[in-house]
Amino acid sequence: MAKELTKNEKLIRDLKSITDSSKLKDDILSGEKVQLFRCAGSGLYFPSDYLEMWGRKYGLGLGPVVVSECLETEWQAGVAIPKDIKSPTQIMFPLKQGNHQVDAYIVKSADIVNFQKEYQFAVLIFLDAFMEKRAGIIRDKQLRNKNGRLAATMGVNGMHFSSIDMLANYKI
Amino acid sequence: MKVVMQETVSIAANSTNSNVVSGQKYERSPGDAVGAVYNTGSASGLRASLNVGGLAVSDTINVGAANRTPVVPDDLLVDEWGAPEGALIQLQVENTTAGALVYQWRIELVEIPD
Repeated sequence: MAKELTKNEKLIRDLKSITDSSKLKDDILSGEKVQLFRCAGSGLYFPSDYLEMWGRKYGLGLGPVVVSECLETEWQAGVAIPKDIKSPTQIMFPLKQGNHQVDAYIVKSADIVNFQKEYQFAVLIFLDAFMEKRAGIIRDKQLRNKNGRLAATMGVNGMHFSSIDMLANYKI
Repeated sequence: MKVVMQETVSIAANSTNSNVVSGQKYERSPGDAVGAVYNTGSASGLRASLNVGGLAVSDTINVGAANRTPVVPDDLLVDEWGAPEGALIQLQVENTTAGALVYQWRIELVEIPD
């Protein structure tokens, strides 16, 4: 059973929580720390104003509840192959809106600059409305997934693309 | 009597499916009926248009990115259109993005009593 705190101990605990939170506030206001948002599904980060600008800059067409903008693969649907294929990059598993939860994170500003790999930012919808960047990123992941069958599907017509490099060099 | 068709289709990147209803049981209206189309997309970037019996019922309309089985009436595209007996129902879907997307649709046909 937890030890019951004395009146003095409770006072110190409450005071500590106030000073800690005000220190955090000071750090954010001074720019030493910054608040980011993180997609719970992909682990990618969103800018500080993600919540504030929801529906104006971010999340257009995604409804009033703030969710992650990140796309993910719809493995259950079949590989989409167009009849009038113009490029092999058109062949891929379909994408879907993940609608994952976003969590607030407070990180050191210096860390964002120093550790770009650690804080990977998501490609935002308003910067990539036609999915040129996002589709390419996810398609690479689909090709690398050995259980995903995309590479095998690509080889149906006598052309086997076992790697992305081979696919990149192939032209119709 | 009411008849219903419902299906999920993958639409490849930068391509158009000229009729997602093609091959369905009620691709042609089984009798004089009033219809409604409900649809959703897995992400934004799909556009749909409806033709019935060779006549345009709707212009090309953006499809919502609800990413779910169509909910009645929330995911309505267009309703109260007439489908004479034998008329071909053509639901054309265009993917304007560089990534493949999933299109889910539901068509309800309510027969008009004689």
